[in-house]
Amino acid sequence: MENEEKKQKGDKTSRSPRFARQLFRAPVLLYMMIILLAAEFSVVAIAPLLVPDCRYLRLYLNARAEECTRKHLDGTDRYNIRCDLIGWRNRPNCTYRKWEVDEHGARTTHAYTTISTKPNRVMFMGSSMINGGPFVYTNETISALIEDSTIEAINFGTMRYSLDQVYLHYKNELNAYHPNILVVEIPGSPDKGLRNQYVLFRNRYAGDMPYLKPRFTLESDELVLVPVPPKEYHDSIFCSPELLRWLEQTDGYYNDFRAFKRFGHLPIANTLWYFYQKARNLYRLIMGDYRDMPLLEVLMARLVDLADKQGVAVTFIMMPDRTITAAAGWRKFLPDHYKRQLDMLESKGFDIIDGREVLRRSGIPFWKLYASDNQHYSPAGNLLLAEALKERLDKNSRKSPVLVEKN
Amino acid sequence: MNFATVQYFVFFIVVFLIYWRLSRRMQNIFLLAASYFFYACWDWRFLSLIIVSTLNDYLCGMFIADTDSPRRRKTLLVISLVVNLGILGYFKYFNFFAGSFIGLADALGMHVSWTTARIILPVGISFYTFQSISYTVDIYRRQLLPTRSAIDFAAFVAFFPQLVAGPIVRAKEFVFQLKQKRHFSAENLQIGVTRFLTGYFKKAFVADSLAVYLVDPVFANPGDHTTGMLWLAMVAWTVQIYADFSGYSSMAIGSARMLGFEIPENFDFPYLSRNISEYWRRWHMTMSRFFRDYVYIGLGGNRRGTARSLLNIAVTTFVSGLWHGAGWTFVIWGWLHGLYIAVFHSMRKWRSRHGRYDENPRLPKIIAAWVLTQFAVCLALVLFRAPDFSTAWVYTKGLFYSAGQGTLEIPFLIWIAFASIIVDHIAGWIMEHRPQMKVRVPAFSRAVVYAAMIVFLYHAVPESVNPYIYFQF
Repeated sequence: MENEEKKQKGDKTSRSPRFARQLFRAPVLLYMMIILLAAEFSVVAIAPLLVPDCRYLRLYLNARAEECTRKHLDGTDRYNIRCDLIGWRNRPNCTYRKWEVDEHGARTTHAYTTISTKPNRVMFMGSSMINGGPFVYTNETISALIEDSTIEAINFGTMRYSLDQVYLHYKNELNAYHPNILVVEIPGSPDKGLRNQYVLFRNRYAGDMPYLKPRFTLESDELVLVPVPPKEYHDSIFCSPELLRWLEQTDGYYNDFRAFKRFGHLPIANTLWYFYQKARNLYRLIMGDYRDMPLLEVLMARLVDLADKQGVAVTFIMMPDRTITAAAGWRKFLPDHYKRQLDMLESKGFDIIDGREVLRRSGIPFWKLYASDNQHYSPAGNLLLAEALKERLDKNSRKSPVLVEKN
Repeated sequence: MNFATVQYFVFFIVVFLIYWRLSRRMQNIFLLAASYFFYACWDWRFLSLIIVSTLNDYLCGMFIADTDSPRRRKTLLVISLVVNLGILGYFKYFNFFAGSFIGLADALGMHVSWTTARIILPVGISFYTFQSISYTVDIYRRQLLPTRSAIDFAAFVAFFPQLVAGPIVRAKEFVFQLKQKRHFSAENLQIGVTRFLTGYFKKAFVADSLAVYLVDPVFANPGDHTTGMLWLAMVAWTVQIYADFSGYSSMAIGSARMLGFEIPENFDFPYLSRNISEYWRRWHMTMSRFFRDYVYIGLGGNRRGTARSLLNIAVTTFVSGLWHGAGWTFVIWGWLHGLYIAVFHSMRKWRSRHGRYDENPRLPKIIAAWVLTQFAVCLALVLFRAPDFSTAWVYTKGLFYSAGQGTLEIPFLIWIAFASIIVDHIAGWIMEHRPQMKVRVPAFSRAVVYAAMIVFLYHAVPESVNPYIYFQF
């Protein structure tokens, strides 16, 4: 017994020098590992102390983001123009392939003024999901599809708008168009973007929209506006320490940029960071992350109150992307946060159309209902939502006569 | 599973860790299972083709060796060839020949009604079929004894590092390695890792960057670009195809080395060649020697007079062109090379006969010969890249005069890609011609270079990985 133990110990002790010897027979590999680890350590621990943040921002943004920022600042972007109040808005009188925007900045099939020529004027607000983006023709948008002899629709959907921008836009400008009904899109993850000021901090790869937006914070149930950073910061976006200091205070996604500074440059650190992010996202998917729901609820309530004072009814329409509508693979087994968030909002008394339910109920294959990016809706998807919306507006008008009945 | 993807890295690490904990016999079984899994990741249905080909050659090889009757041996060889070439012919060439037949009939004014089938080309079919054929032919020629272990033979045919795009390994180079006990060695690991890394650099950075920024846009609309752009893209394409394929081969050799196997080199700095014959000794060497040994020499080589030799060259280059792709552009590319070779050999013969053959030419002559050879290779490669003859014609015409005004903005990375292949070839030239200059680079300096390469690749590699050009063959 003792001999066996000794033998085992002997084996172990003789193994380690053999392994070490093996390693030293591959000096290039050994040095390479040491050099890489040393480089990783310097980049993670030392470089952020020495390198200015602006340098990191340039690395964070890709060439496309840089080019698009310049266009945005020069005012030469094809689709949008800069706006000190809301961040950006649709470029008026812009026609490019399927994309058509009129002189008011809306996407509409007909000319109009602030006074409606039909008994009902329905105004649509939200992001490119409601606008239709470059995926559908104007007459295939939800707004165009609900139009008839009594309903006139104006679509102010603007690319990548979140609810805070919708609220500011309506409050400051669009109420002048005197709609009877306001239809507001809320995304499948309804609180998306509410803590964000610099679009690229939330989505690094949205290089074609490197814009700054306003946001709200919630202080004792009161909305406090955090405006778009001053123009002089914006003009020098690639070398403006002031802007980065501002965003550090205000952007809920600044931490992602902070992590990039340490972990975004070399393979080992980046791989570890990647897996950490995946694990964190999975944890949030399983456990649910409802941090921003109170802010969303207050914003929705303020919008409804504001509209109500002007006699305008508000209907929200929840428009999930294909991953939510047709969850596939392992996502099928995750908790249904979409439903949970919808229930939470409905329990507060908001009038909401469940886009997912409308699409699922139709029985039409999902690939026919979504555009090629699996996010925006195809003409068939828009038609289904338009029919559901019309049905809801009819139903609501019977309860409280906002919608004028047909003759 | 593409070598330049995360999936392959994960797959290889798992295989590597398990493989080195197994006994020799289990190692071979595990290698076979891993290789079949690797292939099934593309399309599991086509595994059956590999299995049929393997069984066919395993049995034919054994029966050929067990009999002395020449007639029986020949019959068995024919069975093996018919099965292998039948599979290859159906999956790779059926539509090509059917389409060509219909085209010919139409041209002769006859109406032939024949629908082409929807056939998917199984990845790597040309490579593993050739390996199987070489095994049976070598046994038939009594150059090789058959292996009695079906597992070993199946592992040879399906060995994943070279399964889908070569190098084309012969049984006599590989099967004996499967029979030996393999021990983990750090030296092999080091050689394997560095070969893999170099190959990855060539494929993922050089080849893909050239494709994305220069070659694809110009070849898509050759008529729209200036003569200068066409020349640049032609050279870029020549570099791209070398970087793509030699990079893949290097990764295959590196992967095999990490598992304790040595497989033959496939490239030997082909753009150093000073004549077309030398080019084919340096380019895709395992394929060239296959065609030389089994087709050209099989047909009689140059032993039966000049006319027969020329015919043999024409047949061999026709088969070589067709092997690269089921299309007439590939066939003409093969014949063009056949013409180059025939002209080269005839001229050399003529010069020798008239006492004009210069065995030690001077530098200007060497440079002229090099330029002419490379130009001939580049020009032929236009046919290889163009989807059809009309595009190839527009491109070739454009090299001398193009009305197009289009130019591309060339990113700095492209010049780095060009420079790295030039450095690669200069290093090759030094190793070949000035071995005394070959300074032993210290391990630390090499490690710095490889570490820098990893960091550079991490940032410079285009986001999407293009499939290997040679997968289609």
